[in-house]
Amino acid sequence: MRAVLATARTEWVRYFRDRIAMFTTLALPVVLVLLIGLSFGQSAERLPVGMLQSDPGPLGTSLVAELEDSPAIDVQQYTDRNEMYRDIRMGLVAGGVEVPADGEPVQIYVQQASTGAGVVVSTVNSAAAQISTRATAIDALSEQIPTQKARAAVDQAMADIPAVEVATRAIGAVNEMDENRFASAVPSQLMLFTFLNGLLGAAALVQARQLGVFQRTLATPHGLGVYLSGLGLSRFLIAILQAVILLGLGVLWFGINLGDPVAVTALVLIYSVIAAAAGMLLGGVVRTPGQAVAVAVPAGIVMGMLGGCMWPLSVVGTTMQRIGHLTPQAWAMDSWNAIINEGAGIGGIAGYLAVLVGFAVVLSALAVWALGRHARTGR
Amino acid sequence: MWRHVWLIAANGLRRSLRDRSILIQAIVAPILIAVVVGAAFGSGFSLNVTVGIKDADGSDISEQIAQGLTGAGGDGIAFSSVDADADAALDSGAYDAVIVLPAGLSDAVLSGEPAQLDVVGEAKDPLAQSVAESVAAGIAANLQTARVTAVAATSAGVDAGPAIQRAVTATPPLTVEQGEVTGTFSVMAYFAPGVAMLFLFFIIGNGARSIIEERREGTLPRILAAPVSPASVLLGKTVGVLIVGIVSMTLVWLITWLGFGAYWGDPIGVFLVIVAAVVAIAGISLLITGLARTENQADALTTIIALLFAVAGGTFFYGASGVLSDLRLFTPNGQALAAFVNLAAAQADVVEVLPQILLLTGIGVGCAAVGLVALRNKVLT
Amino acid sequence: MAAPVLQVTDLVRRFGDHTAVDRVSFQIQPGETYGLLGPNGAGKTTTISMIAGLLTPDSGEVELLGEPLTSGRKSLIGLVPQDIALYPDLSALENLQFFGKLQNLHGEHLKQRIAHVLDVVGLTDRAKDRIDTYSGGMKRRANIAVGLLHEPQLLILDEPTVGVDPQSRNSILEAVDVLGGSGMAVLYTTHYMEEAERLCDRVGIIDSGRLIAEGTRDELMQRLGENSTVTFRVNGGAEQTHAWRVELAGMPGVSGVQGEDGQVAVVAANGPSLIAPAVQAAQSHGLDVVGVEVAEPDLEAVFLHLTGKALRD
Repeated sequence: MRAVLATARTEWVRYFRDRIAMFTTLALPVVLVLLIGLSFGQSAERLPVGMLQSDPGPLGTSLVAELEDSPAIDVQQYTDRNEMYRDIRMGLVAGGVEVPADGEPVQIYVQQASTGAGVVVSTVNSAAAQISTRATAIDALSEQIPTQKARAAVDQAMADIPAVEVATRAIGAVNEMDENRFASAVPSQLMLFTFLNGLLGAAALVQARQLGVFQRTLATPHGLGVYLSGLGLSRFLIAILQAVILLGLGVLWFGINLGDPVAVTALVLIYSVIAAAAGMLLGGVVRTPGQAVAVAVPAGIVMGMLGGCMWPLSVVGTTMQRIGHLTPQAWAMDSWNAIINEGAGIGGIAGYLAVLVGFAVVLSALAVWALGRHARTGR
Repeated sequence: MWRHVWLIAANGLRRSLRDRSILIQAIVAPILIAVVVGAAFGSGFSLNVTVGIKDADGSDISEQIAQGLTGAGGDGIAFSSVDADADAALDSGAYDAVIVLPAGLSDAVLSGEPAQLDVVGEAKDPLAQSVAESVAAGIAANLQTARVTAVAATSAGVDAGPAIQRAVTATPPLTVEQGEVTGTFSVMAYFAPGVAMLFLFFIIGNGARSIIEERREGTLPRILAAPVSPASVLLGKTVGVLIVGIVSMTLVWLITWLGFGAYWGDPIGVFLVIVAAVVAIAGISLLITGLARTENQADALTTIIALLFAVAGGTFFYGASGVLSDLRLFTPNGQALAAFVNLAAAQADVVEVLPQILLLTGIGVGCAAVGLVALRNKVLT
Repeated sequence: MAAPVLQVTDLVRRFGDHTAVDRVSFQIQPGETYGLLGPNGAGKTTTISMIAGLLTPDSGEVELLGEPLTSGRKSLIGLVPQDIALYPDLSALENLQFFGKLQNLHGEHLKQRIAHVLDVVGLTDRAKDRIDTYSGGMKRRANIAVGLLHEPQLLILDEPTVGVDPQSRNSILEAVDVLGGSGMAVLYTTHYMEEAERLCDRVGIIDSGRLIAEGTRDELMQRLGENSTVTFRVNGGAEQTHAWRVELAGMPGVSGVQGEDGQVAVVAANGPSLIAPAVQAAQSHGLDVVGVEVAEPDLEAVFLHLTGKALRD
């Protein structure tokens, strides 16, 4: 046991002597959490819609003002039609509204594939109705009496009658992850980076193989098992350190309501084992440190994407959700959703944890097998 | 001179081809990541809001309103009538928000008393609630128009019936027409170049660093012991990394375009932006390598700068707002991505992305000049 | 008389305050094998780097066949660096092709030259294998092959046998012997006295950046004069040995003392007459002399005589 701890200590020191590792473990996740938290603040409540004004009259101007006040859409002004079209094609805005001179029809542009068109049309029609009460009423009366008189009568009526109001209320509670952007950014980035760094640990392992550390450890009374346990332990502790930093930052600085500490701890511990084991498996499979990095980074990113670390899996189709659940990331993110949004305790995420334990066991077994092959040949 | 430059470039290329990790990073990784994103969002970012209409009033007017709405709707928004209680309807999951026409609505409207429509939504879906609220506001406005007309007609001594009829059926002073934006954009055309540039930083950084590495390993002195000038060596190395970068990124482009149908836009423009982006990345890598004190420092700086540029440049954030949307323009990755997006989604031609091409090339040439001078001093101790 | 292949005149190179090479001059005639003998850090590699044009001298001149070294005349030199300066991920053949083309060889001529040098170093069978699959000795031989490729007038070998197993070392030495005999001028640096004695027509002894003696083996031996080396084997503590060494160095006629525990060599004029007082002194320090040997003079002794220290520590 002492030999395991001594190895873990050495590997820990080696790890943090590398400035790149320091950066990707400690700094980069924090930078990303900050950027995501600060950059995607207001997207969930209103639908972004582009607006192009081509010299609108009084009516058009009123419509623009009404749309800007609309609770449903977030108006983004454009001066260049091509730029608006570009963002419509990219889906960055759900559609575009062009407000022309009075008398000409208001144009709504949507993309064929886009499905937000109906909302834009309803909203614009609704806004048009709101600004046309007076004009429509005067127009309706002026068929029978002079416009002058109609106008006076309508203005009088509008002063006398209260407006028809709209009252809104919401049921249920807002998800913590929706309300506080950091509450989704912190766990998702943590899952992404814990795994990525675990995989990157493979580089050091391959290096040790090349340097003949394997051979040397075989010659010690403790054997390779102790070395690998120590290495695994140091990787595991690095993952824990990362979790403590990110979650601590999330709670203390970003005010995340993290939920049940027991559930969180269990999840972080199991996931850290998975990340360490995955790295050791990769370290047993590839041939050079360069290859380890070349595989680790794309693999970490792709699995993060599939598993819902880059965007919530609820926004993709069922097939992609199923594929995503082949990764441990997806089960971990399911657990976070349950813990943070639904207040689940350890019992509530037991099913997810069972799957994650399965990942941990299988990956560890594969890692031992892959590294065992090298142990027998000493390389 | 140029024969030696080419020999050294070709030697670098030959060694790159032999390195499988370059193949993974430069070609496989960007395509794989783009395909995953494409599979996740290939059908576009979808929006589907179902708004329920609960007619608790049961009058002619409310019925008319409910019928009018259920016939409306369109892409992404659907209306249907609700029989049950609004809260129960939401709980059932069939509706995202409910507009309630409360009992006594028509009486209140007709009598000129205060009247109100209710919208019930779910806290976890604020967008659907806002959409319903906006639709309800439109209904309220129409009701208001009708009763203002009625009251005004009465006070002016005019026959109210035909006036109201005319008011509710009148074409509003603002007509709305729906047009279509043609052309499509694949998210792959965003993620493939973005990720390719991230990994090119690593690969080209390695290439630039090989100048110092070869000095340590002795092959550089051996080259210089032949009748080869230091300038040829530096130029050869530079040409080598440029070719690796341009060829691999062009392959990513052609494979995602011809193999996966992601159109990146005007081919001439795309190719020139690829060249400009690679020049910028190569220049920055040469600068880092030239200014770094040791090989390890060059490695660490390249990795950290590559990751920071990628993150700040928006490589992983499609359409971010806020800080990132401004920040990204200060990175070469962000500028190149802006150019790629303009070509693919704004259907821009070469001329329109010329500013970015020139900017990126300028950054690259400027950084390379400083970096190569520094490296020349390092090579010739 | 024809111009020497290499003429080095008053070469100086400083790194900061440290003068690595201090007014070194020597020349090499066609067909001559010249050994630069000195301990690690004596300035051998720095001297060679300036000769090969990799390092600019602070002062002094390098002339090849009577003319200064220019970039275009670098092909006159074949440099074999101390380290394996080959691309490990390429085969020997690919390395030879690359460096051959840099020397402006091409086509059929390049092919013939590659075949020839592979034959010389005995790597024809393994030519298509990557360098990183080679043994240490094979890498050394491939390293030498690249230096021979373009038929240089002057072959520079920088410590070609460092870290090589005895068998490979022998074959390298044989190859150099053959090359030297074939009329090519060779500049050979080493800190192995035996190699210099075996291979070189003339030897320059370099220490702390200065060329302190030069000549054929016999000429150098004459520098030793009547001096001879007496080696004592003693039993006793390190401290006592040290004290004894200090006393030995002070005895009349002694020009150098080397060695520590167990074995101490002394270079002295009329060595045998030193034996009695030396043994006496040893006993006074509580040391037990168990053996005495009077050796034939060699270059090791010359170095010890000239510098007062050993070639290898």
